[in-house]
Amino acid sequence: MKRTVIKRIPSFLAVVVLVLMIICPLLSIFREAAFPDGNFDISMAISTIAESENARMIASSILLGVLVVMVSSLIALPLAYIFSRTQFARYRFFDVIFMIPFMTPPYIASMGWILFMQKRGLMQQIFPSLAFLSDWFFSLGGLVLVMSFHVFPFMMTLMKNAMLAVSSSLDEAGAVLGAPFRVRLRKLFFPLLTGNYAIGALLVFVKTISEYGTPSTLGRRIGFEVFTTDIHRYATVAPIEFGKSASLASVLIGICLLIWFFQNYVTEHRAYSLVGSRPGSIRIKRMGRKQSALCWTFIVIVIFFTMLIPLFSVVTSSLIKLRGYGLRAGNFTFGNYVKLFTEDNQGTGALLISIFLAVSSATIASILGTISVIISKQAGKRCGRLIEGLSLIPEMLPSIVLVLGIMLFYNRIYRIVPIYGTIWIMVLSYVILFLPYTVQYVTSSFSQIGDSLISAGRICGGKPLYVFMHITLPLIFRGILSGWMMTFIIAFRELVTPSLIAPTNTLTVSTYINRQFEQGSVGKGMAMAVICILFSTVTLLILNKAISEKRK
Amino acid sequence: MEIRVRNIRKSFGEKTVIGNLSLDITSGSFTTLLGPSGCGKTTLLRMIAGLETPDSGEIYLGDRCVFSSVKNISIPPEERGIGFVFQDFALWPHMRVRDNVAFGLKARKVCECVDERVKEALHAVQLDDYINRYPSELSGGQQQRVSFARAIVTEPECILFDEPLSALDALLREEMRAELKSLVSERGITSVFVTHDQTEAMSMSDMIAVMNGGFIEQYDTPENIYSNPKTVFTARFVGVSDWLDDSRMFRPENAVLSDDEGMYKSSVTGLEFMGSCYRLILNHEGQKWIINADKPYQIGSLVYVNIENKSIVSIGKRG
Repeated sequence: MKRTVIKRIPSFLAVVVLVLMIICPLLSIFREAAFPDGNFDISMAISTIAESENARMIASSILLGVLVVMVSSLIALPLAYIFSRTQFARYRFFDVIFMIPFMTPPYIASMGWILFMQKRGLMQQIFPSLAFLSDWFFSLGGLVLVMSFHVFPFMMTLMKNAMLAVSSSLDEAGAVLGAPFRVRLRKLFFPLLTGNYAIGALLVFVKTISEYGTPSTLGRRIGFEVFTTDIHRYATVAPIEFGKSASLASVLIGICLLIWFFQNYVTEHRAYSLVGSRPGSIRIKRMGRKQSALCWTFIVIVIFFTMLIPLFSVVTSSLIKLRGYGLRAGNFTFGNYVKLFTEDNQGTGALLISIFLAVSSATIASILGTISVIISKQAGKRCGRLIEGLSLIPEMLPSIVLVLGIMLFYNRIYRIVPIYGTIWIMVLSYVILFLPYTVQYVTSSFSQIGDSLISAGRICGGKPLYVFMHITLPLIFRGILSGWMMTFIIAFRELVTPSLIAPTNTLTVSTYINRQFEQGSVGKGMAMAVICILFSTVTLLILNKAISEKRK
Repeated sequence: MEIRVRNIRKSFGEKTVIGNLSLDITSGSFTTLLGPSGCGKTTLLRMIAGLETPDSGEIYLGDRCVFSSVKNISIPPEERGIGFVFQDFALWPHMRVRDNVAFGLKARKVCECVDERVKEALHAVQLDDYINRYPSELSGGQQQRVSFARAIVTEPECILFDEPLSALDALLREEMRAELKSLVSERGITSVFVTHDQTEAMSMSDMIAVMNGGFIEQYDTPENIYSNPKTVFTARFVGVSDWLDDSRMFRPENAVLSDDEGMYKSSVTGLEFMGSCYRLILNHEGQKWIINADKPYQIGSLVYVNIENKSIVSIGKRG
């Protein structure tokens, strides 16, 4: 009896820590929304939601989500097909290229687009005749495009993997039975993929309505308010109304949970398990010249719009001396990069703060995440799932909601844990937001360790701790490392946390770029943006190299 | 090392996997646990190793009690001092062959002559030149040899084998059978071998325990298991059995076929050419018999089967 109690202590502790870290902040949101004076009173929450501007905002958020799903499908589905079932599947370097949108933080990409499209922006300087496009761009249409350009790789990868899992023999069986290509596409290929597509579409929808970066830059410029920007506005701009912010956050949580449940349902009921597909089970037919040219054109257009334009715009703006002179020989300089570090110590400070936050949160999150995965593996089935589920919540919810919760919770318990308004609440917030990365990577590397490897260690005379240190830990180390690097990259450029709870006068890379873009020197801001992108990319390359070297 | 299992029970949730099982394994013998999948043979093996905990009962390795529900003893696997060879080899992918084999010595803090002992063990399995390879750089057979080396390097008195040959292809499997057998018998190691392959069991074992549904159907020498099965299950599971009725059977090689006279009249319903002989599928009063013949028969033709009385085995209990 005693032994089982002792055995349960770690999992009990894990649950307590995770509840404190993740659930308590979420509960403070509901408390703020539904218990404004300590008594249950939902009327204010309802009236907030019913306010005509908020109701309109909710409708436009959902509209935005739907439109982005549609546009990113148009980009992602053909690409997924091209990269899974044509000879393009062999060109692996496209995998790297299509990580560029992911490596470019959405707020930086939108700034790039704004600088490109705005009046007397780069486009009008290069192609003055296209000026009419500017008006069109600064509207809902432009916002949808920019957000789709960022999010489509997720759907592309998901659908590509789904298509890779449909082995050619399924198609060949249809062909042998006399079905022409179009019929096979309609009757066999598409039905097998609808489940996966639904999952992808829901994922894109959630990502869109959770996104803060693009709406806060491009959306704000065209006066298009969505959930995330409104939550942020009520919580930061005077008159500060946490109640309203919390009410909107509650609605957003509700929508997200609803979608996750729905997605779960689809996964369980509609997605076919297409196992038995091995490498080589997809036979690729060579395309004719025309088709091949068509594919190339499509790929090049996508790359041009989703990557080249924003990157070109950001890089060019960082190199321009005087914006008034525009793109002109002699108006290029590296001065912005020099000024970034010499003019004042804001730039250097922001860079150092971001590095500090990224390193500390990546380290803490990897340790906590790894421990929680290990405990969840040791715990019973139900308790293990609880721990895993809790640790993955931050992945499911918009970060702005979590950060708002953290803000409210630590504001309330300031007397017990006085970290509100210090840099430590940022570290904590980063750790909470990025815990799922480590959890996912470590869980997946755990799943690759057969039970017999551990059993073999015990049989050979290793005590549990010895086996853990010599077998388990080395085998999950790659997962931990990937989690660390991923957290490092994302944390380095994180925008939501610093724009909500950074202590006064503490700038990070993201808020520095934002501030320079809004009211300072665009050149300096973009110079920082370039550094940020390079930093992420180099880290990612190191990560890939480290992983492939370890995989011998 | 003698292994004694006493009144072991084990269930996973509602499902009883082992129900009150006892078994004595003689020191130095090669014993096989033979049965269909899900009969509890692997679970029994894992309980001897300490990888599963029985619900009740006792297990002795030599004179040492390693598990007893009554005395509240449960020695963890690392302190049982046995070897175990896994079905999937269970080689640690991040360690070289050398470190895989040396692990048991280092974990037990054996310091002297680790290198020599590792080399010796690898020599015994003819892998001297592969000491610095990673497991992924070895073929399936070589990987299995490494796992043998890992099991013998600590010089255990007993090694447990969990279907170690099932992941290998047919040719290699036969080759490894002999190699494995000589490896353990040269060293006088008590071996317990789990398999569902009766040929493997017959060819290697001193004793076979036929298991079914968590019980031992019969525990005997391979010869007795084949010629004198005690239960219907054993008769059906090991070798081909042809049945006169519910309780009397004979082995096909004891039958003599005749075209025109004999004890049991039957009709040919199927014919398969096997290379060295023809396999006839006969129907005798509703019983399906399989008997080998040296010439083909027309389907539908009549054939007479003669069996000496002493070749007919009567089985009392239904299995």
